[in-house]
Amino acid sequence: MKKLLIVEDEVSARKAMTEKFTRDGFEVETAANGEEGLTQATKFQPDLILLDIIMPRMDGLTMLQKLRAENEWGKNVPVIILTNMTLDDKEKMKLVGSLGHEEYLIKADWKLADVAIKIKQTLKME
Amino acid sequence: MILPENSIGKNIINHPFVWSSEIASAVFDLFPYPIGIVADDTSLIYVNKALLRAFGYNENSDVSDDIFLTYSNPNDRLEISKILKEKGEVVNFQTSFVRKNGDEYKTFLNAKSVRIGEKDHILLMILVGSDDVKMAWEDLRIKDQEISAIYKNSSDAIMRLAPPDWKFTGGNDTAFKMFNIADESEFTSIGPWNLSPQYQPDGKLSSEKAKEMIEKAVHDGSNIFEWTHKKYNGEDFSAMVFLTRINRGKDVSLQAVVRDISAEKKAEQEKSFRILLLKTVLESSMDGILVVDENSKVVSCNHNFTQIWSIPEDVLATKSDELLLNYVSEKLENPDEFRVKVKELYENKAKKSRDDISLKDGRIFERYSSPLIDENNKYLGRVWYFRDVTKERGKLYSLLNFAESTKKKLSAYTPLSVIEASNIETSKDTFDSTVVAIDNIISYHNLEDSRTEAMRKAMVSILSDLSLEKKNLEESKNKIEAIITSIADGIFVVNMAGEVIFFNPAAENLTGWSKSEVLGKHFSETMYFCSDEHSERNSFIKLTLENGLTEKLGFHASLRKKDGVIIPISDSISPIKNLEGKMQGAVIVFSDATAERKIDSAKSEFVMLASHQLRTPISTSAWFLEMLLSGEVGELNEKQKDYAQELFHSNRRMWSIVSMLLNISRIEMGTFIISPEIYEIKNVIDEILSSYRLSFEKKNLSYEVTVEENLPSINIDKKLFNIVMDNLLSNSSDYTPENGKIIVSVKKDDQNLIIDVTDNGIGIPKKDQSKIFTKLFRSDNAKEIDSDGTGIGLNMTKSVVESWNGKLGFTSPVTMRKDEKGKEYPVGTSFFFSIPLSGMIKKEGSVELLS
Repeated sequence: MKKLLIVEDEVSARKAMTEKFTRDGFEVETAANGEEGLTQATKFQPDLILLDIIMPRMDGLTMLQKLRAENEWGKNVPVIILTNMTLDDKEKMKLVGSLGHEEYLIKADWKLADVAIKIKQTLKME
Repeated sequence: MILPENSIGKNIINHPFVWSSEIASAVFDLFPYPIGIVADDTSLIYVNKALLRAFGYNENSDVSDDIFLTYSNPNDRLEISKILKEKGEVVNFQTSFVRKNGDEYKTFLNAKSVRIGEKDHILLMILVGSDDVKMAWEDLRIKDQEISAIYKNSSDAIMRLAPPDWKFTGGNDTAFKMFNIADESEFTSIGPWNLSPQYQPDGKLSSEKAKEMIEKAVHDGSNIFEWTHKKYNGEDFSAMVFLTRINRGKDVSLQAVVRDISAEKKAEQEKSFRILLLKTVLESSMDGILVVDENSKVVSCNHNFTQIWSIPEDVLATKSDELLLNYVSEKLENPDEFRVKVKELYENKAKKSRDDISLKDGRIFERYSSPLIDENNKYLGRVWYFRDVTKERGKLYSLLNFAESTKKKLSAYTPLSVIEASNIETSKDTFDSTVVAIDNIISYHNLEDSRTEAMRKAMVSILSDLSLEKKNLEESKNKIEAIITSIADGIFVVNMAGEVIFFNPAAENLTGWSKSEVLGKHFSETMYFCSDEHSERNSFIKLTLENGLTEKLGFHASLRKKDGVIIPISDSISPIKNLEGKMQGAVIVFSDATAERKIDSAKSEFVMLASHQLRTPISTSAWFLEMLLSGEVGELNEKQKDYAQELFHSNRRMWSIVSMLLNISRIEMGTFIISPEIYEIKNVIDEILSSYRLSFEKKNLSYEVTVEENLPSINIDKKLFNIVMDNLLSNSSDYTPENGKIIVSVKKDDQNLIIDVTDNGIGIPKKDQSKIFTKLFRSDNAKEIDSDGTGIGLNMTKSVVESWNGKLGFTSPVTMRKDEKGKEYPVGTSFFFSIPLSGMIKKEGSVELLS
């Protein structure tokens, strides 16, 4: 069973994703901010991380930077950024460009079913 | 009685002035002694009234042709002929004539011959006693001197013209001086056309018009008109010309009196221009203004005044200050307080005042009143300015409250600027920023009439006095000037050459340049206005000078001061036109918009934050609805499915509103990116149309694309282009009934690519056409068809098109159709927008617009 880590501060968004992807046959762990996300990632070593950007305590991009800098596993784990963030798009695009592995999806443009397909493609499950 | 040439002394004869002057006529006709003039063949060519009386004729009868002198002794006639030959001497002898009734008329004949040109004439005086002879000669001599003096010292040029070619035959010293002519011989060698430019100001050839004027004078006896003269081989000048016909027997000649009015004319033009420009200045501003005179009677008010108070025409037409005050009071929260203040100010003439007044309808006006005082410290009246500050006051407070209450929640990502907004204070100093038209201060037509009339009078009496008119002009000018110096807007005026010719104290303050550094120089040497850092400076001034339209730098206008500091401003520029509609220059009005701009940007940032916060719950509820509808947590029954669908639909709608709001705030903040790439326009359009295929099929709409041959590929930001096309296409498909047709066409003109989206839908009602680009506006017929529209799309679309220097417009209806009953109804809308052929220009920014 593939393992997903969902890093999302909004409770109901987290709930929607957790339930959907569990039903789709993933093992799901969650974290409510970037700080928790880093801890969980190290502990749980997921196959893929779904990451929101605007979060309290530590935002998604900071977490991503730290994750990529931390160790070999962290450098390579696939990350899908799933967000509605629209502030500082330029800054964000730069980061995403430089980091390399990430998909960048706008929540409202994506049905959960399509996100699931994206995850499966990334993990080469289909 | 027609006066002859060669009548009295040599001086008089040489003075053409005499012939035009009624004085001369009076001299002869009122002269108590009989006077007759004979030609060298002794035929009589002139008699005065006294002679007519003496010979028994009615003195009013024009009998000069019938009278002949019958000498009682025919030898006397020979004697007179002899005298004619001797010339120059005054000769006395006694003789007698036969009167009309046959009586003999005995008299002393006192005669002198005078030579003029080719002809000799004799002056005959028929007198009763020898003492009278001396007195008569003496009287004539004095009159002669008087006239001579007038002729010589006149500041008007006096000259004579003779047929057939109407050359000058003589003139006074002033004439030589005025036309820059050396002497009489040079003068008599030229004609009036040598002293005129080729064309008169009305475009007629001077030579032809001169002929007309001469013919009129010859026909009517006199002619007075304005004429552009030219110094002999020198510059042009304006003049009034008074032509009088002179009859000498059957010969006709003309006398011209010419007055140089160029100085007066220039002064007058300057004054008119001054008033015009001051008036235009007032028209360029935005506050409601009321002007009352020293008795507190309404003098005038501008259009904006009637607008903000919604004063009906009939109330205004009465010009009654009491009626107006009553009308205004009814609208106030606290009319008594208002009246007390008005009374207080009318009683304290020198007092200025500024306060807020609240209206029953919730608006807040700032009221500012200032006395009108001319340079002699005379109280002329009072000006009232009213500015609707509801937005400034209201927006600020509600924004701050709202910001405060949500501050905690948003604290993690509230940008600094919102916090800074808490420090914005309502600044009353920003009040004076605008003024509008005072329309009826001066009635130009009255002014025009009085001017012509005054000139006519002046010329006929030769002594003109324009002082009354000068005074009127002066007073109007002082009034308006007092208004302009009492406002705190920066105002400056440029002429057609771009030179600054007016610069008020507020402009000095705002720009840091002093009047003396700016006046007379081209505006680009000192002024530095721009809409953003990439745009051309002072572009709006150049535009107005070129096309004569009212312009504005717009949303991000700023001013670079002398010291290099850049401040945000609000601005407007209007052309100044004279009575004939010819442009004379332009007036630029601007004010410091720092406070306004801060509020605006705080507002935009707030909208952005708020709508961003809405996006998260909207997208999450969409996910839950998606899962409900997919059946993965159990099948829904039909009703449940229907409701969940409705919810999902509303959710999508909310999403699009929020996205559009975000886009608008991004556009208003000017922070979005334009990143153009080269595209074939046809491909881009095909691509976007293909995404509409489904929704078109649903309504059975047909569509057609026509693209002009050989269009160049063009540099566009596809995302922005698609936002615009999306809005136009979805409008077309929403507001076109089933089986309708949509046509997209692309063509180009000299400078632009023009894309046109035409449908045969419900059209836009005429009454709504001026409002369709207004944010949140929706026309009634659109609401009927689609209650889901937001009223945001077209406003945003226009802003997007303008961001790439394009224009968005529309025509509606496209055609008329008939229903079953034969009644016509309008059909269709055509929207078109342009992209410069040079393409969109890359713009750095921090965000993209959402598609």
